[in-house]
Amino acid sequence: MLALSLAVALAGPPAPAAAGCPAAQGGTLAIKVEKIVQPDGKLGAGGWIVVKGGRLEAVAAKEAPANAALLEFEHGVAAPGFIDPATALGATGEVAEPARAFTPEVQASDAFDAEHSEFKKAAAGGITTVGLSPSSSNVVGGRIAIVRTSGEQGIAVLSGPGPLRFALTGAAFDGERAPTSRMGALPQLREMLAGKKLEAPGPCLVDAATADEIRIALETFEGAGKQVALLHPNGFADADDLLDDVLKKGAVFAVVGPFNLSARERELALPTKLADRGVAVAFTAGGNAAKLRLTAALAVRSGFATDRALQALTTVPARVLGLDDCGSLEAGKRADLVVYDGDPLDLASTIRLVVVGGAPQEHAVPAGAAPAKEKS
Amino acid sequence: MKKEERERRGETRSSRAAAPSLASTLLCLCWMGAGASAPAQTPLAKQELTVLQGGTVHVGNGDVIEGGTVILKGSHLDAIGKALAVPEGAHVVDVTGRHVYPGLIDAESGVLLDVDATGTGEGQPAASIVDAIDPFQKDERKLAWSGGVTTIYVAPHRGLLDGSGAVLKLRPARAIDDLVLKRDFAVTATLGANVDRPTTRLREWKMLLDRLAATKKYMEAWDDYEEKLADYKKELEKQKKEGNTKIDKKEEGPKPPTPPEQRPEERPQGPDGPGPGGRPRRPRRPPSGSLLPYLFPDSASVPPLHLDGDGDGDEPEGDGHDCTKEPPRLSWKDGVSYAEDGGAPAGGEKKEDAKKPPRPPRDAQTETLRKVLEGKLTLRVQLSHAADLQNVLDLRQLYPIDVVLTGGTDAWKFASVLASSEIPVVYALAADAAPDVAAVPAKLAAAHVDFALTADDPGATSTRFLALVAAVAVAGGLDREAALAAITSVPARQLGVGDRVGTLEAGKDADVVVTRGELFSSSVVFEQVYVDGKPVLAR
Amino acid sequence: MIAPLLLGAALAFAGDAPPASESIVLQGAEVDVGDGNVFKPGSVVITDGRIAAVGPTPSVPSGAKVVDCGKLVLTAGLVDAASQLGTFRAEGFSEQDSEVIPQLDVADAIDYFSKDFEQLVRDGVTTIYITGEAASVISSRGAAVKTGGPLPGRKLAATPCVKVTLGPESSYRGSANQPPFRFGDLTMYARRPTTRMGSVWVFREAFHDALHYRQTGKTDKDPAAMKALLDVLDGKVKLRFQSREAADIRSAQRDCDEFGLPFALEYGNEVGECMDLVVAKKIPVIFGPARDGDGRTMRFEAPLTAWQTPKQLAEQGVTFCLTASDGSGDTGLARQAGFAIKNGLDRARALRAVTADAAAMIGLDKKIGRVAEGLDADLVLWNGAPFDDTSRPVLVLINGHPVLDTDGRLRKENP
Repeated sequence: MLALSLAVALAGPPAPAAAGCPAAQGGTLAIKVEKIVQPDGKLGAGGWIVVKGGRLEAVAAKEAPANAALLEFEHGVAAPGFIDPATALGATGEVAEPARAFTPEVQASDAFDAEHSEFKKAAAGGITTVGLSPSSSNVVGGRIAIVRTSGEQGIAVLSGPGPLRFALTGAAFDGERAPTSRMGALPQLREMLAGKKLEAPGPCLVDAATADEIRIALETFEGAGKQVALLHPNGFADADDLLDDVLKKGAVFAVVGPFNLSARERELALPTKLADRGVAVAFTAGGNAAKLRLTAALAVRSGFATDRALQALTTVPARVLGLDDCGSLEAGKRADLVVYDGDPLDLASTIRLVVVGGAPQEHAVPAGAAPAKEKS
Repeated sequence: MKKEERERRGETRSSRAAAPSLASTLLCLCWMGAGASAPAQTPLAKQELTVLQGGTVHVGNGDVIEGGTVILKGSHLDAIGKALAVPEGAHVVDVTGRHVYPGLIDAESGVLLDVDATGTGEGQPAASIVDAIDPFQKDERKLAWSGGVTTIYVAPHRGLLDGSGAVLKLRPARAIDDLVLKRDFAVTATLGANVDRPTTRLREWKMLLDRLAATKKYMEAWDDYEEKLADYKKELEKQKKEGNTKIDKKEEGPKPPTPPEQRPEERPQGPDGPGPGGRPRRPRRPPSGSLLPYLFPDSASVPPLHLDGDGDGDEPEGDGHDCTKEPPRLSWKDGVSYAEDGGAPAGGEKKEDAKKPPRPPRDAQTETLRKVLEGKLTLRVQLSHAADLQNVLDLRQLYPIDVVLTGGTDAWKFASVLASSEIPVVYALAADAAPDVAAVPAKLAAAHVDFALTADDPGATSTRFLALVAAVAVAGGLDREAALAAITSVPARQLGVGDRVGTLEAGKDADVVVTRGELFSSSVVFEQVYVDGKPVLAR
Repeated sequence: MIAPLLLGAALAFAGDAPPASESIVLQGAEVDVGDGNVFKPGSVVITDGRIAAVGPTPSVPSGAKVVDCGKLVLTAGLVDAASQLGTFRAEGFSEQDSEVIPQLDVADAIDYFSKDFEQLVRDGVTTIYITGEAASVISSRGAAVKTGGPLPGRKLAATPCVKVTLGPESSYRGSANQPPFRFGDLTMYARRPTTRMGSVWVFREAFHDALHYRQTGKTDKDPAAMKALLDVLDGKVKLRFQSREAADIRSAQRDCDEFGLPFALEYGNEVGECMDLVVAKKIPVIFGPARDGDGRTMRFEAPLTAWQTPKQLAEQGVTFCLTASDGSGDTGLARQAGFAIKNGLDRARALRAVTADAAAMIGLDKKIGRVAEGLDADLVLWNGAPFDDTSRPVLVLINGHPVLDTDGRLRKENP
């Protein structure tokens, strides 16, 4: 699994105690960086990050433990591994089950393909956890599986019931099956939400695109005492004047993205608008690391605060998925971290090291483009 | 962004306060509008001299001046350097802690273009993109400025061989011509699957080669014609000297009523009597070839005649656009020596019976391609496969043409060839490129390929994110100043406007960008943008 | 000329939210109460979004802002009792999984952000009752909604009412009711009745099923639907028939007689052909929409006398109101009243037919439909005689909030 020697090689100055002492085998790994992304999304002072037994033992320590394998990054910036809450990673076309509109029993973990290369690519790009989610083709789509893109035991699905995925967009009513309309679906949905069947950790992830879909989603789920994470709520982009009114209904999370270079101004301004109104924003890009970083970069270029952007890639998606052991670099949390050679939000920064569940990963910087950069 | 937000909020406030009265609401909105746009123009427009002091100046050619000074004089850059004296009366702007860059140049943009207008189907090389530009697209210009872009290249993109593209300066202008830095710069050939015509690469290349072969033939026909024409005229001269005025026995047209003293521009326009065989003839220039020596004994003193619009029905076919501007390879002599349609074939005649050679047909589309083969127009080949690249190299063996590659995902595979054969590249990089693709610009740089960077996205909105695209190349290993050059000085040179834009050097256009934060950072804020010395963006 | 007069109004409505106790007085050249009383000139006092007083010189609370509305004419906001606007067209409205869906509520299909509402406000319509779609034989319960104003106050509690359609829409296989073509005939849509006979059968079977459910407590149908049908049989939910042709009206009567059910008629284009029945059975009629020229809605076989039906209904003492259905603008509700007036209906009666009588039809006459004390301040200010071709609403208030400005600009932000 581990390629510590490679990681050391990339780190520049060879670490003396590295050989034969992989952290994955119970040893201790210490990584020195210049800056560390704090849980509040700000860049804080660096130091040694100590990894042991797949967990973070210490963050920003002054000194490395005596017996640890050492990795030093001169201009390194350590960030928590990114989390993409709604992907179809490794299961494109396998997570859309259109036979029935209400499929709460369906579990995306059954579509999980541990050998799929997309997970490795995501890990190499700095995404350490993804939500493998049923598609938007059902009103109640089923359980989202939480997948670690790598780790000591390999790519794995977290056990236990995952969060639920819902949809109130057109795709959920498309096809030859009952109900064919939102009007027909809502009574059944309310009944289900009132029952015990739909208990889940974290908020309900609900696809709602237009302004009124957002309104009815918030109304319906709030009525049942559930928290909502709105997925792709682009309707807000066109309904500025009603944003406050609708959000009073209790939107807590919004999952937005991906953005590309063709995105409209209003779309790119959406994260800021939502965050200004107290909604915690998470980014998604279908598990594609480059697209996820571009999404964050475009939001930042359009005025989204950098601390919010970093949270939107780490702590917020962790909360959306109901996870409390990842998303931030704090002692005791899972050792999912990425070392960049600059600000993680800058597209000019390169990944120097990815650690998933305590295991340093071989990453995908092509040999031809050896990071021979010198920062001024 | 923030300014827009302020405007929007201000607007909301004003409309709320003025409701529900029409008059006051409208007035208020007008006032807001005026207030928002005016300050950017007036205060600095009066300043002849603007001095940007204390910033980190990135010249664009690799040089960086810490704490440098940039002096803008009128529409041009006056001086750039360290510790320069501030001229008297200058408007000094303190840009300490800021970065100063030349205006960025997008080597392939969709700004100001109507997507439909640029689609030219199978290809109309004679068309010009300038005719598809909408100078009233002010929002797109502002968006480009908001990303520090001041100069762009635009071209049609859909046909196999499209009309010529143009280099535009994004300046506040109302007319198209105010925007154009260089028109008819290059012809684009689009190859590969990402175009909406039902075809295969096999057929595409065949079509392209056929077009060029036909152009070659066309050129040869005209060269041949001109050669023969010259011979013919020489013969005329000779016969004139010999006193033999009867040149062409078959030419029986009556003498024109033009008196010898008539000015050339007053040449007859209308019908001038019955044609050969007594049938009424359409308006036609007299068989002037034979009359020339009579009318203008000293042919050298005759002013040049305009080719078109003389109503003789002999104008070249096509839109005539290029011919009007620059009559290709036609001297005035050709103009007055048009042969009769279907005139007798040239050659095989005795010298006494010298015949004018028949004039080949003229075709505007082919005329444009002829310019390509003559090296007057660059051929920009847009492609996506390495195999196409090989074809381009072969093409260059066949014809001595100037080629620029655009797109070029696989270009790095041929990097050394591109470098040794000096083929410039406009590399289209996706902002969400995977690491191996992001590394291509670095590989091109390592192989010394001359390349500019643009976004792999045809939309108008991508231009404003040009710096992000270059940032991706930096992540791929490209040196920062080289990445800057790839969106400033290199495209300027490739587009033939390197003497005016692309670097911060004295004498060039005062297109300057001031940012808070480094250009390749995501949190960069474009604070000030100057175009031709005028501030077009300030926040 | 109107704008300066309303500058006062501008001031009155400025600011984020007028203090709850603040009153506004609108002084108009004419206030048409809607019950036959007209004050010339008249004033309306608005407090807390409701009408506090109305009359030639009502007592004005101290501190009230007085707005001189000049020559404008004040009426109550128009009410459409059988609208088809304001819902999701694409996927949300028409539930196709059954012919019998009385358990569903149109309220779940309303798109509060629909552009339809903007047009309705421009037409002076302040409340619509959206009835179920005609694609089902027994369609869903309708819902009443204000066309503008703050979101929380827009939904109204109207008399629950289920719509029945015996033909032709519920058995029509044309474009409006077509199943997704890719499924061909072997689909759940193939169960749909294709004749009026079939639709009637579905209707009768449904109520017999409901009665069976009541007796046995068992059903192989959706129990929620059965319960909803029992509510209809118990009179808790009213029944409405969408009937364009006289034959539909007669079969509606026959079918309801079987179960002892009262009903109202929606549209009733050919009600003139069976006026005797309507009068004898005292069937309320929501008449319309009459449309100009090409007879798109008025079926081509409808006789010319149909244009005079409103006048005849009034003369015969039938309870009726007018609807524009999915029409707006040139075919909107104000124009429906205009057509009725042109064809002989009394002006005052025409106003009632699109305000007070329509409100009564949906059980909201204690809340909306007149300019009277205690009712919602839903008001339209016209720049001339209401429903004249040369008149239009120049200011529309919903719950006292201006939703249409004098300049025809919609006020979308929440007051």
